[in-house]
Amino acid sequence: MDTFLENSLFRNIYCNLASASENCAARGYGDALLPDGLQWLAFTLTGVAIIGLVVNAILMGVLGFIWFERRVFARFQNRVGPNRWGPFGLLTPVADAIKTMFKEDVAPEDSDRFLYNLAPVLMVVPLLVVFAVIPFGIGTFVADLNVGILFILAVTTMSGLAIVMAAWASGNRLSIFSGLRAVALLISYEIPMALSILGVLMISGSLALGRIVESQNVPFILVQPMGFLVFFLASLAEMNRTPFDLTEAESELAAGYLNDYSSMKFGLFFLAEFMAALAGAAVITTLFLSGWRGWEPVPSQVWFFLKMGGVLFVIIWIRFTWPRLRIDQMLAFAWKGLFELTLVNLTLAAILIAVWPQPTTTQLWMMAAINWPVFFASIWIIGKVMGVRPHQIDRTAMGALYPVATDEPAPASEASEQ
Amino acid sequence: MLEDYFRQYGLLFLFAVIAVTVPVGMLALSYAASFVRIRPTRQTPVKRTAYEGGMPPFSPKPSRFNFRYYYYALLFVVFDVETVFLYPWAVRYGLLSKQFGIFALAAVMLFLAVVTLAYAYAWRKKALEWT
Amino acid sequence: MGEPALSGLYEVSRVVDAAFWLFAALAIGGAVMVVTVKDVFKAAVFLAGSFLALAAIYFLLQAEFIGVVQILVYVGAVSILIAFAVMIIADVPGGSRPARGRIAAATAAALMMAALAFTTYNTNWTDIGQITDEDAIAGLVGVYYEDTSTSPYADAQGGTIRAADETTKDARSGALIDSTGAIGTLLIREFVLPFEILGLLLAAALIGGLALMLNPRTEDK
Repeated sequence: MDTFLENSLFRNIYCNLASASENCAARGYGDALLPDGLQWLAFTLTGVAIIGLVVNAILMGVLGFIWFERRVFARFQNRVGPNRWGPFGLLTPVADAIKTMFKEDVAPEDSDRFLYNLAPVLMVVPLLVVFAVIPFGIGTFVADLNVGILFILAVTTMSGLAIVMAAWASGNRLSIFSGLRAVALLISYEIPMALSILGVLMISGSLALGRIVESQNVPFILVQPMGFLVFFLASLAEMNRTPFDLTEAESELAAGYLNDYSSMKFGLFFLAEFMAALAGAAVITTLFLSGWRGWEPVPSQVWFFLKMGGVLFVIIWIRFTWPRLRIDQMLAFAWKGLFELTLVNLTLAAILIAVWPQPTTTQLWMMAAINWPVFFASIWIIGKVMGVRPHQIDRTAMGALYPVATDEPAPASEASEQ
Repeated sequence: MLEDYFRQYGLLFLFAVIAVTVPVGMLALSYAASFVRIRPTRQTPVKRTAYEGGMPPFSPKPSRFNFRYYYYALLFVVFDVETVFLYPWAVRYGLLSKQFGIFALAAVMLFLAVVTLAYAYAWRKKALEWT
Repeated sequence: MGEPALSGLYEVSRVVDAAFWLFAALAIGGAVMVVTVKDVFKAAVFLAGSFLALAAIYFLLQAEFIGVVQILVYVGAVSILIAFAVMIIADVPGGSRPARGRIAAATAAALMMAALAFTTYNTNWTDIGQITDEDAIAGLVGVYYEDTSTSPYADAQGGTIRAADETTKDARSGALIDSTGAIGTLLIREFVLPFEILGLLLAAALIGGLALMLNPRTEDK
């Protein structure tokens, strides 16, 4: 119970609920609400309270993020943006949510009911659970698992299954095409994502996110620029954001795998998409931007959310600046570009750690000084290897069957296929 | 320590339960709204066809999909397992390289090199290519 | 860390027992559904559910790393592989025709089950609490110092592993709890050869799988 009370959120609630715990008494807590012998109830109530707090914060965060994105989007396009509901249009996403909830729910005739209903739930759950292991500030977390980051990676892969399920259960050709694409992309970017963290783990010597934050005397974005770049791009792909959002490429596949979803089920997919952005930003902040660490008078939680907001802004910025990639470009980028970059990064990090095991702050700076030139050099080399050449579509063989996005108008055979 | 471990996972389990409850609750709320006539339920056969760009669907249920996605799934499984073996090494690598010196590096680099050979084979055979 | 109160431990172990039965039931129920359900895609989904319940059981056994890997590899990767494979099947909702040789298959399964049960029953189970060699635990946990004075192997590389003073009970249960690091240490220290062979196996799996799959594609063209 001792280490558990390091969690200040948990401690404050638990120690006021449960009595007769010498650990609480040692920390200066007095009388408690519940009688002796009900520690388990106190524990459960505390857990539910904390989790409720975190889950609500996430849902509010999603609403806030939707508003933020639309406002920033409007600024990028020299517009005003939503400004009718509430001050600065703050209530617009709330109105959207209510509207979505009260829409008619139409399911296609030959959809598989069980899977069709299960998929949106399965899409949301992993992304919520990710937040269980993220430290939001000093002593502000739900559970700091020993396998924290691996847990996040494992849980987020489950959304691939949800996508296949949604696509298949709709019983719709376009959905299945899009779903298969989405999953192919998801799993392709999962590998560089997982490999890019290894450098961070070598330096911090732990999988627990709390320890990773504590070991960042120098933010790992400086020490591990390659790892950061790969992780950032891979998580952009994982959260289906531009320039990797082609599963929802309207011009090709209607709305993608959620084509046949409506009402709240569609709303859940929508929620999952924005939650993925939040989760990705939170993980990037924790791993590479030294999490809740900052300078004193400002509380650690504020630092965390400031950094997270910064990452979210960059994500939005990218969305409104870059065009979308083609699927062949995307897959090649994952398997040939990012994968090699992670191999270079892994080898370099391993050599550097062999020279300076358990590095001090000065040694971290020296690592950074070595890493940055190699970072630029290897990006240049991989750019040369991959090359920038236009994609040649062999229309006679495959092009007609599996249309790929191009600038040219589709020939008649493709139009009939769609 | 052990107790803490289970308490942590107890919290995580609670979190998972609540994480399931939230979307299910949203769906239930939306469903309940159709009983108080806020949410319309006027379904027609046309509405209930699968949306395939406005055309009536060709066949009742599509099947037999593209084989090429399977390459990526296979590559994914292999490299996923590789990653899984690198994680525990990476976590202890600092300590291990203090103790074993260059050996801790060489062992893993050999492992990586072997797997990378397979990667090179896949590249060579154009399995990474989207044809 | 203070000795946990006995009542608290009892409570936890009771909850753990209940959770074990719950997840075991889920795992077996999922597996039964896989076999009985007709729709192949649904069977794949139930298989993923069964994998997930197994992962929960690993967590209960304090094998965190294995539990997470179970989710990552089985629920995340293998089920997607299976789902993709399912989509190649012609008639997914109808399922495949019942195979012949059911009796032989059932016999093989029963024999396998009996062998597993026999092994389980006759194994002398030990847990980490029964490992008493402080140095061994220290090596696993990583809380050790290198004794260069007494070791016959002492050289510039470092000496033998000795338990540091803080390798107490905490660290001993910590060996269980930080199982990831312990696995990493073991991979490099004891099981280097299996580790390298594993790399070969992975490479072989990839090359073999690709070689098998490349043929139909060239025929397609």
